[in-house]
Amino acid sequence: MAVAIMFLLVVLIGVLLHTFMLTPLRSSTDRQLQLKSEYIYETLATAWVENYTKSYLKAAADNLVLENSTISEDYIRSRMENTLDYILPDGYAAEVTLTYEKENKTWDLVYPNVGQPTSADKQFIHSGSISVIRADVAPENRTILVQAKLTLFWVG
Amino acid sequence: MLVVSAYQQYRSSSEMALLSDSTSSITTHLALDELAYVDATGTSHPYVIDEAKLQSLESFKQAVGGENFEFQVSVLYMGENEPLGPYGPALPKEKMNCTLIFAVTLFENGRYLPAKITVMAWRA
Repeated sequence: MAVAIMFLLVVLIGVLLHTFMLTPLRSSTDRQLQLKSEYIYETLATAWVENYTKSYLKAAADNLVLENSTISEDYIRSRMENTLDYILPDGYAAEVTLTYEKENKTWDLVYPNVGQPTSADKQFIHSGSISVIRADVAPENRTILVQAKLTLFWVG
Repeated sequence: MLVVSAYQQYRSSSEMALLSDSTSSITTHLALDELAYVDATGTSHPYVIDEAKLQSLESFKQAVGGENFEFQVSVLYMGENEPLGPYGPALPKEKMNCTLIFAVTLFENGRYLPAKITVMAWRA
């Protein structure tokens, strides 16, 4: 009887060890994905939209705030989708959201077009702010900060 | 046998996690510091890789957490099929290694291009 219990205990410990020993690797993968979301955000914040000298996030922020921005919304969306297609890790989607709270305006893009991430999806978020200069207002109100957020999530 | 196998699995997964974290750390050091583009005013641009710095990189060794690693680095930018590189020593035979790809921006001929940096690292 005692031998049987010991045998069962050893089997149970072995199974538990197998289950929990992968935890460091899973945590490392999560850290890596969090870092990837930061790098994707920074790439969109620094790389220029093709044929222009403005970054993707700056162009989208201008489009959100300014009445006459130099790059059309359709063009920004199409180029941003193209770039996300190039830089996203396989099996992952990204949502780019810009918010100008003062005027309650939002600019949103999800690529690939799988819909917004749900709370059930594991999400890796990086956020920051983009400054936009408005020439049509008083000098003290010219610099506007737009909140930007990138959410990386698994789609399979 | 089950316990021994679980222990071996633990060793292996811990080693892979360490290698993955170390490769992330090496990539971040390259993208934010060593290869970061510095403009004419002396301002550093993290996450923007300077093509000239990439091509003249001399050291491919880095210590992370007191352990020494070697690495190989290459950058592929949008619209180009051939990567810049790889730069660095060849991977020694039968060495466990980790390869990570991160999105970056490449400063090339006065333009900021979407790109991907690939770093392969192993224990020195």
